[in-house]
Amino acid sequence: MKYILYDIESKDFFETLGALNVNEYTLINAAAPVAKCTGCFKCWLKNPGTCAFSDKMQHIGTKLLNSHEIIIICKGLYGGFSANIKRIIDRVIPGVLPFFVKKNKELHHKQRYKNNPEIKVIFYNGDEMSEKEREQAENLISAVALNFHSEKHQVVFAGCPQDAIKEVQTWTC
Amino acid sequence: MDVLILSTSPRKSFSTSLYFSKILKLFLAGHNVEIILLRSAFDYNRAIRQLDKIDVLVFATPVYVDSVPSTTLEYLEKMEQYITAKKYKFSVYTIANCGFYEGNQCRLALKTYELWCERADVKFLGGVGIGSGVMLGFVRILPLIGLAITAIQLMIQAVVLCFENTFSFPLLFAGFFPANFVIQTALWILFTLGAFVHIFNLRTSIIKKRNHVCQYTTAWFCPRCLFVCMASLYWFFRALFIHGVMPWTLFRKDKEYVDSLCK
Ligand SMILES: Cc1cc2nc3c(=O)[nH]c(=O)nc-3n(C[C@H](O)[C@H](O)[C@H](O)COP(=O)(O)O)c2cc1C
Repeated sequence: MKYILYDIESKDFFETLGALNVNEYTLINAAAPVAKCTGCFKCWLKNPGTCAFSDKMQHIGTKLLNSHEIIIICKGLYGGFSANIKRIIDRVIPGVLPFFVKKNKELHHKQRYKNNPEIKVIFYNGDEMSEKEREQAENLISAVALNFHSEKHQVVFAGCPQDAIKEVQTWTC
Repeated sequence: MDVLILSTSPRKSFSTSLYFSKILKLFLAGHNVEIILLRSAFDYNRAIRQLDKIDVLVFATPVYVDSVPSTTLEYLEKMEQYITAKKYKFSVYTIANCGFYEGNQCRLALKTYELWCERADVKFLGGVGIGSGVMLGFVRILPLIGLAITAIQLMIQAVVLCFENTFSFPLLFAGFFPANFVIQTALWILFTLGAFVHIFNLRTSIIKKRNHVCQYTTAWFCPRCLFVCMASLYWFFRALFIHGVMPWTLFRKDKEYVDSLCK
């Protein structure tokens, strides 16, 4: 499976994205309202592997961490994900185990599933991001990739959402 | 000096960020310090009403996937607009805590607050990153556990004396030493000493309003291998005693995954 997450609530955007050759991708609109992680850890201890909130994103950790490719189209905020995308990212942790492995001389969580998704992130407000924010974005995506056992990741800065779609096109065709 | 500490954990109870906020408040005794838990729109409104009179804003934050929780991000975005509109000028410090052992796994979360300050046009003056956050949050109840065990020991002793018909308070306490309580309290202090020292140093920087280059610490007197063993046991026990879930169940695959394999 392959996923595209985006945080733009616009019909135009959705249609342009849908017009690409993205049949093998599941599109996820992160602007749709979903519960936010409250750090209860029930996804590790009470109902291992499943988020305690039963909404559309309950199994998102399982889905994303069993996928081949995750494309995130996102507004950069303080050198990181937008709040809408972060809401989904926080709910991915049921997909890993609460236990630890040492990777790059630091602790990370053990895998629940033997899979290494490729993560590609496009920040579509790249022109508005400061030099420091871009540097932070690169570092952050590396760190997230390491935590989610992704062995390949890529960060792209686009000038606008339409440019972001063009970038996606080069990946999907 | 007026200080506002915003504890940004979305947790309802037993938050490590709130615990560290309270320690900082204790160290800042004599100053006007208020702690607000930033968990709802109501809290947010209460917080922004304070912003015009404070000298220092301290964020006490957990690390969620190498950055700040999504809830916090929403409030930060709103608050940035509010502050730039009002042109407030206070200094900002941050205490971040993360679940992993290494304190420097807080570095990107701390950087997020620094970048927020640049957008909000307020001064970021550094902070501390504390590793083993879940563990340090838990060990604070060790003295209580020690006290409970000590009380049970005393009660058993009292019952034994009653049976022997020799009960008296001097006899009950004769030669009694609350060893368990002392040991558990010592463990709490030893493990948390690093956090205490670093929060104290941060307090000194806050009072002097000087730049506090970001520093990192973790549980002291606890090598990484001990941390891994204790943390794993902690998860097993918490699952078993609070949720009645067997240790091997923690490794199971999500039903969604199993179903997708069957298809
Ligand atoms: C969704 C989620 C993501 C987390 N991601 C990380 C992480 O990337 N690195 C880390 O060290 N700890 C991570 N943690 C652990 C928290 O930082 C840790 O539990 C912290 O002590 C929480 O503080 P609090 O009790 O104030 O909420 C995560 C916790 C949750 C719930």
